[in-house]
Amino acid sequence: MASAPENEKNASAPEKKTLTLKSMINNEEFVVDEHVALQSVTIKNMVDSDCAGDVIPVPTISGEILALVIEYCKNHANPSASEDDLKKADAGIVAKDIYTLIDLVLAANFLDIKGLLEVTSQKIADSIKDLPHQDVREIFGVENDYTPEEEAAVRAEHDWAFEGFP
Amino acid sequence: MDCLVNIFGRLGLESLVLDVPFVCKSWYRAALNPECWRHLDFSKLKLHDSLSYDDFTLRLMSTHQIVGNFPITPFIKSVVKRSGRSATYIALPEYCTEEALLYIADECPALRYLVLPSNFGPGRKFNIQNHISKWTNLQFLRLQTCFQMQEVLAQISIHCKNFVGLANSRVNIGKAEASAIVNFLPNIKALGLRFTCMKKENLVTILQGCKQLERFDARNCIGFDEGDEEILKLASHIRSFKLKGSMLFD
Repeated sequence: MASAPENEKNASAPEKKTLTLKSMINNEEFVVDEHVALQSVTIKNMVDSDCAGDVIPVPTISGEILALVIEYCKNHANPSASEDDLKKADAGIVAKDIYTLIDLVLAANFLDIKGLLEVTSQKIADSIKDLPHQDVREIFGVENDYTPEEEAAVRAEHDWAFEGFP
Repeated sequence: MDCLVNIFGRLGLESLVLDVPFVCKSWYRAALNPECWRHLDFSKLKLHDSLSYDDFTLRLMSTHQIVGNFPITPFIKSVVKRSGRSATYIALPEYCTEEALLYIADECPALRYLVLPSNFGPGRKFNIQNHISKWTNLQFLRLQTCFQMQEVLAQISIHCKNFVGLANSRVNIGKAEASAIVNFLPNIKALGLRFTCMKKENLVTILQGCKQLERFDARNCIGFDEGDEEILKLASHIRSFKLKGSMLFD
C-alpha cells in the first residue's frame, strides 16, 4: 500500500484500508481506518508522500492521549453525526484535567488536527481566563522565574497611561 | 511556541494584560506575539467611577496606581499597538474617543468585526463613515444608535467587498434607511434591527430587497405586529427570523 502509485490510491478501494498508529512512548498500537487517521494533516502528508509504512510511529504522544485523538477523529469522520452530537462528543473528550489537556493540545498540534486543536485550546483558555497569575502558575506547575526587579520592569512596560505614541 | 499563542488569543484582554505576562518569562515572550492580540474587547471599560467601574477597569487602576479618570484612549492605543496590525475583532466602550477610532482605522487593516458604542450624546459625534475606507476586510459592523446609517452604508458598499452583517438598534428605520440597506447591501446575510422604530412597509422593503438574508433579528420593534402573516410569508426563506415582542403601536 505504501508504494501504491498515486492513480491506484485514488481509485475506489473495495476493502477498507487501515493504518496502525504506534505510540513511541509506551509502544501501544492502534489500528484505525485510513479515512479516520487522515484527518491528521501530518499523517495525511506522510501517506501522500509514501513515507508511511505499515506501522506509523507517533513520537512524544502516549497511548492514553493517542486514544483520545483517535476518538475525536472517529467522531468527526462519521458523516451521519449532527453538529450537536459532535459538540457533545467534543465536550466529553476535553472534560479532562489540565495536564491531560496540555498533552492533548501538543498532540493535536503535532498531528495537525485543526478542530481538536481549537476545542482543546479553548478548554485550556476557559480554565485559566481571568485567574490571577499566582493561581495560573499553580495550575500549570510553572515556576516563577522573575526577580522582583524584572517583574517590576514588565509591569512598567504596561504603564500605558504614560506611554508615548509617535 | 504556537500552542501557547493559540491559547492566549482566547483569553481576553484582562488576562492578557494583567496576568499572562507575569506567570513566567516564557509566557511573557509568547504574549508579545501579535497573534495573541487579535480579538480585542474594550466594551466594558469605564471612564470614571461615577459610572461604577467593572472589575477589569478597577484592577487596571489599582495595578497601575491611576487616580482620576481612566485613560481610555492611551490604553486602547497601547493594546492595539500590540496587535501589530493583525486585530480582527474590536469592540469599543462608551466614551471611546474619535482619537482612538482614528488610530484603529490606521492600525487595523485586518479588521473583520467592529462593535461601536452609541454615538448619540454630547461629545460623541463619531464620524465612522470617514474611516470605513481603511477597513477593506470588514465583514460585520455592530452600531448602537447610529444616526448616519446611510452615509456609513454607502461607504461600506464601496470599500468592504466581504461585508455580510449589520446590526443597529434603537434607531428609526424610515423609508430612507430601509432603501439604503437594500441599495447598498443587497447581498447582506445577517441583519440585527432590534428595538427600532420601523413601519411595516419599510420592513417589507428590506425583506423584498435583501434576498440573501439568513439571519434577521427584528425583535421588540415598533411599527408592525409579531404575528403579521404577510411579513412571515415574505421572510419564510430566512433561516433564523425573529420578531418576538414587536408590535404595531407603542
